[in-house]
Amino acid sequence: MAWLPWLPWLPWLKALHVLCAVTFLSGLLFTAAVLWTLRHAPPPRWPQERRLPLAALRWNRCVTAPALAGVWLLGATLAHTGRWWHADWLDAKLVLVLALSGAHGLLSGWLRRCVHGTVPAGPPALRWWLPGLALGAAGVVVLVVAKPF
Amino acid sequence: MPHDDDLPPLPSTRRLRALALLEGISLATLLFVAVPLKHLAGLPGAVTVLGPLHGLLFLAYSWALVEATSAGALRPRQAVRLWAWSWAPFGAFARLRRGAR
Repeated sequence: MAWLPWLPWLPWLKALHVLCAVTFLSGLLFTAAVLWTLRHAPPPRWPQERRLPLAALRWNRCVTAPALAGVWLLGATLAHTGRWWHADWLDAKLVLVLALSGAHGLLSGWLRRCVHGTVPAGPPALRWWLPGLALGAAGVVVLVVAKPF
Repeated sequence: MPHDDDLPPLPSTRRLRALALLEGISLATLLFVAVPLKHLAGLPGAVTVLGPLHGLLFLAYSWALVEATSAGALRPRQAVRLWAWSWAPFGAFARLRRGAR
């Protein structure tokens, strides 16, 4: 059974968690798409050449990173409330969310270097990042909705 | 090279030090206050609160290490060492402070 004091808030916690997850995943895919777009661009020298990576970096800092914090905070609260810590689907989902969070850290760092022009090209194997991240996000959705095991 | 006044800085180890300090405080409090309270005084409330809090701070510190490494502020080997040091209370913070001097 769920932890009773939190029970009335469960639908609201779920809604907030989904909102944070959607915001985080869209921001993550946006960051990867920006790096993909700039993969052949020379290091920016003028302020106007930095507009796209700078806007992406600001969005990342002000929206995507706080959404990631919300995903973890609300997700841990939900797992505790619903007593799901020992569910196999949650273990699998945690692996995927850890991988997506790590990918976000890597892409954030690359984006920062891209803005400063200290990296000549995009991250290695960039072509696999977008489909990989999309597959990871799809895996999270399937595990949460279908709970296959 | 032309310069943007509002260009965000490359990550320094300052944010990493702050996170390492918070993570170290939470680990020390968990190990030296909450766990004895649970096992010696039968009060599990502090572990219930501090356990997940320390877990979240550890994740935040690990994320910051990945970001700082990919942004070029740390070498991968340094990041792995700092991550390993964070398993000891204040270990990573002490290493980062020593490195900053």
